[in-house]
Amino acid sequence: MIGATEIAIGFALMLVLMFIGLHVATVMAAVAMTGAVLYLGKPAVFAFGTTLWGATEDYVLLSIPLYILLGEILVRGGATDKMYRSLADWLNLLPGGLLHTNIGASALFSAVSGSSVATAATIATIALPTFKNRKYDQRMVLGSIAAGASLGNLIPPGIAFLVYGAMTSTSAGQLYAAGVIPGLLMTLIFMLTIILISWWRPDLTGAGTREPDSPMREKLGRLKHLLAPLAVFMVVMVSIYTGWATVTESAALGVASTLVVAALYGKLSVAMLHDSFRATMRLTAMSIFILAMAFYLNFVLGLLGVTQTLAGLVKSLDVSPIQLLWVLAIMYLLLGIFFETLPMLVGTVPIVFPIVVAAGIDPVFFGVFIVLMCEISLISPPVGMTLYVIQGVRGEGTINEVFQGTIPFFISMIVMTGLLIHFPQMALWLPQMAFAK
Amino acid sequence: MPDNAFSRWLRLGTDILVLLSGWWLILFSLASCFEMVSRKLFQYSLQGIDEIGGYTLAVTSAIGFSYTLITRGHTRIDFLVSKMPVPVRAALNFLAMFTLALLSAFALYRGWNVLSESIEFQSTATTPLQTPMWIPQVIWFTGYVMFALISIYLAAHCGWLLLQGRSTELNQLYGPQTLEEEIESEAGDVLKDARQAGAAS
Repeated sequence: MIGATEIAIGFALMLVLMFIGLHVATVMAAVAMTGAVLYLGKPAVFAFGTTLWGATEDYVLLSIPLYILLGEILVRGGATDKMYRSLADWLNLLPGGLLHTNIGASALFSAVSGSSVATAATIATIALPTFKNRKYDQRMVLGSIAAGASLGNLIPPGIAFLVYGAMTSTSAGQLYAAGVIPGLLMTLIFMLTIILISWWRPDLTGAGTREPDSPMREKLGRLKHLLAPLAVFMVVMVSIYTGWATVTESAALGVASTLVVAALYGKLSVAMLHDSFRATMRLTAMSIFILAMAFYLNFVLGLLGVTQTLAGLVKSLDVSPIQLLWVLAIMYLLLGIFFETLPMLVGTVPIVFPIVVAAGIDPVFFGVFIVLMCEISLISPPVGMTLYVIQGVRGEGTINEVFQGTIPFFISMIVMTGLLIHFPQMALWLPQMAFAK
Repeated sequence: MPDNAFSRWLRLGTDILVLLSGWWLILFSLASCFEMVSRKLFQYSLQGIDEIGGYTLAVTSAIGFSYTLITRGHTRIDFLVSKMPVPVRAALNFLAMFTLALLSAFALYRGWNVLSESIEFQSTATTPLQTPMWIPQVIWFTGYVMFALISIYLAAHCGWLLLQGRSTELNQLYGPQTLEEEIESEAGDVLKDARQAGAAS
């Protein structure tokens, strides 16, 4: 069994290699190889090939490319601009006006789309011109889009839950069920944040520029554009929870239903599908490459006895689950400054998961916790792809305005982290209900 | 990647394979829906669709590695690299490319071992289909052959640029993607459509 010092050195090595800019997958493999060569010898090194085949020949994980494909087709084949307009009809009435539409549209869109970058790009392109002649503070506009786009992983179906589930042998269905309430609550907290700011500083949130309310008939007419993404979402979720479909089958159903949506909007074409395929395969290969290496790292760490070492360490420290979760939250906040979702998830789970389990924390609950941490990393500057995407779409001003805009939402996410840690039932109640039988 | 006929040929080849994989995913989705309905309504089940689904991920992701490499999509943490002086950045970019080529070569070597054992022992899947394992593994392995060849080709070119001191060029071709490039490659066509729609309305 390997000692705690060696584990710490290994983790430090991983961070150093990542910072000098090696590919994340290379870093995972290098750390695993180092451990295997130093402590285990040839058989463990040579098991690399078997892991590559075994990790990727996986029916459940096939849902990753399918969910990504679903989102890519929906981005190109739906009517995002009309969806945005329809959401604006209703959310406009809240104090803070159109800012709520940014949250709602991004949340809805990123929930069904596997890519938060595509979501941020799409919503920003549609939303930013809308705000051009209205008296909203630019920073609030940018921040609300970024916050909304980060919600995608927490609201099922998301890729992060699948990756976590695969690495820890936790049921993806249970994780999805566990994500629903925290995901909705996070959305509400974002909206509440906007309302509070609009009371405190009405000048930041477009005071006095209330939109004229459209006639009810028009509003109801436009409602059908919201239906497309909602229908896809319902098809996917309902098929899982009624036991009709496995997670992969529900993703396949989702793909088939987005094809119908794209056809209804008259946007289904070979060229459109080919663009979707390219984007899907790029994102899939990128994720699976890292994931396959993470599996090998997991395998080596298992042989090295890292799990037992860390479990022993936790027992000897005698910390309560709540204390441990707060320590981890702080660690993830720091890591989130530098890392994006996937590297952070696969880089830490092999080490953190044994600790958490030894401390008696529920694996399903921890899945929700770690995905929330990943969401925070998405909007915490200075590294955060979505922030730069929004700035790129905007094409004026400075990135600092985007950073400042995320601050209120960053604080709301920390509040949410606290709520989740102290009321774990908000994540566990639904899976316990749904899978009690 | 260097600008020559061979590179263009590689681009085209990987692009075609990616599109084929995409169509395969669509086909698989439709077959999967069909299976679900026939299982529920007629108690008739297509055997082995989940098994084929498993191979699908292995094969399509192995094929996708090369495409993602060519389009510079494999993730790197660009926190320090872009803040370094040009020559240091060139050295780090070369190191990243070189280690990736090493990894892909090792994956090829161990991948060959998996395939050759399946052929030697005539392994079959422990499923109703009893698929001989070499069939999906040959396509899977082909993906790794392409990936290793392209990474070594790119690493060699990258090393050549480094030796000649053409740091700026090296950083442009092999550095982490700039923001514009990243947006363009992840959502370029979507943005174009959205802008057109915005201009029209």
